[in-house]
Amino acid sequence: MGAVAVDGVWKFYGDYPALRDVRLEAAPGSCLALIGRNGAGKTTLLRIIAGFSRPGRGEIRIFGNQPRETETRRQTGFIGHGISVYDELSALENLTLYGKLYDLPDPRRTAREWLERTGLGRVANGLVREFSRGMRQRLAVARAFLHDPKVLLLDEPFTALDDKAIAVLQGLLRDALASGRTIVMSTHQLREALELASHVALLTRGLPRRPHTRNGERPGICLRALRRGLMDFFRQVWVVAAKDLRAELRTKEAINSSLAFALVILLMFSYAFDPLADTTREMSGGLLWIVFAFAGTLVLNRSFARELPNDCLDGLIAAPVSGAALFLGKAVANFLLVFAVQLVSLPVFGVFYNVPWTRQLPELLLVIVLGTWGLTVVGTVSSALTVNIRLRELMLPMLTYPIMFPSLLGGMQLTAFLVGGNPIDADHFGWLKMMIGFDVIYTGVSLVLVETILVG
Amino acid sequence: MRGTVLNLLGGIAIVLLAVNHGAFTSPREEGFFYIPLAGTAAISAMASLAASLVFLRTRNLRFDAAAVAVTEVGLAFLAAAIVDGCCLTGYAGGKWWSWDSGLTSALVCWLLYAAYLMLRQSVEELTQRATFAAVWSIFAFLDIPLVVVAIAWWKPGVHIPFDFTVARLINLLALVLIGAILAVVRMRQEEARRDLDSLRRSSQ
Repeated sequence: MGAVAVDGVWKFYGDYPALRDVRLEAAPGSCLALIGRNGAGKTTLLRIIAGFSRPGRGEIRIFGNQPRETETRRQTGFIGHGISVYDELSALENLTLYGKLYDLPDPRRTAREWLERTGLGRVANGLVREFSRGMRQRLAVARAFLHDPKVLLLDEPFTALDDKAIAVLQGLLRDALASGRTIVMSTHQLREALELASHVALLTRGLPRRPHTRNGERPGICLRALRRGLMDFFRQVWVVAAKDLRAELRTKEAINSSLAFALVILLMFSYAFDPLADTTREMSGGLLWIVFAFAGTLVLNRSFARELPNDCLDGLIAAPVSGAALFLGKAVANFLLVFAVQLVSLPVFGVFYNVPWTRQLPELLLVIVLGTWGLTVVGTVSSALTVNIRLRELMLPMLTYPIMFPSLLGGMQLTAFLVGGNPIDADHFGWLKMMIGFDVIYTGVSLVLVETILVG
Repeated sequence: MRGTVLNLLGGIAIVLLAVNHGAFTSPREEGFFYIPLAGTAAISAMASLAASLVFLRTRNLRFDAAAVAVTEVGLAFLAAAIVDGCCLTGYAGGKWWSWDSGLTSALVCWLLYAAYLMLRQSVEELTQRATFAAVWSIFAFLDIPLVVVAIAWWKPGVHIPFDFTVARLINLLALVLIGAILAVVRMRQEEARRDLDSLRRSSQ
C-alpha cells in the first residue's frame, strides 16, 4: 500500500481542467518532489492531497484512507504558502492550540519541545506578531511537525526561508525520512529538492499511471465510540471557540468597535424619536434589535476574516477537526462576543429611553439568547462564504439580514411586549416557537453544509 | 430543433394569455396578474432549490447554470408581482405600499434571492461560485415559509386574497411557459460564458 496514492485526479475551475488525470504514488519512507512550471498545478494537487479542496474526478488515498477522514488528518502535516499561526497569540499558545486540535496527550509539553528544537525556546511566550520573518517560518515548521505526522506535504517549503530556517527544515526532513516518514513536496528550488528527493515527478497536467491500493475497512460504530466521538467533538468546539475569544480579547478589535457602534446607534435614535415619550417604549423592541443586528455584524465580519492573515484557515482545515466542530466553535465565540455587547447596550438603552427593561428580565434574556444564536449562526455561515471574496464587509449584512427577518421580527415583537411588563402569553408564544424553529433549522443545515463551504 | 420548441411554447403562452384575457375577465380584476406572477416566482424558487441540490450532488455545472437561470427569471417575475401588487393597493386604497402581508413577504423573498445573485457576482472562481450559490439557495428556500408565516402574524388581516380561479390558473400556466423559455435562454448564455472562461484560462 502506497503512503500517498493519487488516482486519476482531475480538478476543474469552471470547465477548465487545472489537473488532468494525474496518477502517482509515493511509497512509505520516500520523498517525492513535484516539479513543474508556474500554473502546472503543483499547489492545486498538494491542496487536494491535504484535503483543502476536493477533486472534480478521481480520488486520493493516504495510507488507504481519504484525505478528509479524521485519522488521515492526524497523520498528515502541511506547510503551505502561509505559516498558519496566529499573530495575536504567543508561539507557545499557537503550538498548544494545534496540540489540542490534534488531541496530543500533553500539548503544552510537546509545544515546548518543538519550540526548543526549532530554536524558539527563548521566545516561547512572545507574540508572533513581534517575531522576525525567519522566526515565524521556523514556528510554521514546528507547527507542521508537532503531531509527528507520517506524511508531510510541503508546498514550496524552502521559498523565502532564511538560512537558519532552511537548515532547521532540512535537518527535520532528513530525520523524518530516516524514521520512515513520507514526504511529498512541490518546489522550484531543484538543488534543495534533489538533496532530499528519492523520486521526482514532472507535473504537466498528466502523469504516468501507477497502481494504487485501497483500504476497504470501515470502522464499526458502538455506543462508547459514539460518546467518545461526541466528547471529542465538543472538546474541539471549545478549543476553536477559546482560540477566537483569546485572540479577540487580546486585540479587542471587534468588540470595542461593536460596543462603540451600538452606543452611536442608540444615541442617533434620539434624533428621530422623542427619547422620553411613551410611544418610544412601543418601539423599543425594534430599536433594540436594530442595534443588536448592526453591532453584531461588526463581530461577525471578523469571524472567518481573523483566519486570513498567514493562511490560518488552512491550518484549521488541515487539523483533524470536523468542519461542523470548526463552525460551531466559531459560532459559540461569536455568540459570546455579541451577547457581551448586548448586555452592555441593553441597560444603556433602558437609561437613555426611560424603558423599564428589568421587569421581565429572565424571559427577555431568553428572547435575546434565541435571537442572538440565530444571528450568530447565519452570520458565521455568511462570514465563511464571504471570507475570500471581494466586498466582504458589504456582502455579509446583505446575506444575513434578509435571512434573519423571521427571527428578528420575533425578537422585536417579544422584546416590545416584555419591556411593557407583560409575561409571554399564548398569543406571543408562537413567536418564541418561531425563533426556536429558526435556530434549530439553521443550526442543523449549517452543520451539514459547512464542510461543503470550507473544502468544496 | 430546440429553437422551434421554444418558439412553439412561446406561441402557446401568448395564445393562452390572449384568450384568457378576452374570455374570462378584465385585466383590472384584483390579482389577475399579481397572483400568477407570484406563483411563477415560487415555482422558480423550487426549481432553483432542486437544481442546487442536484449540483451539490453531481458537481455538474449545467445544474448551476440552471439554478442561476431560474433564479434570475423568478426574481424578475417576483419584481413584476411586487409592482403589480403596489398598483392594486394604490388604485384600491390610495396607498402604494400598505404593508400587505403578501407583498411584504414577496419583498423579503426578493431580497433573499437578490443576495444570492450578489454572492455569485462576488466570487471569482466558477466552481466555488457554484458551490457557494447552491448552499445559499438552500438557505434562502428554507427561509421562505418562515418569512411568510412571520409576516402574516405581524400584519394580520392586511392582504390581497391569494386564491387560484380558473383565469388565474391559465395565467399561471402561460407565465410558467414564458419563464421556462427565458430560463432556457439564460441557461445557454451562462454556459457560453463558462466556455469563454475556459478558453481564456487555456490561453493563459
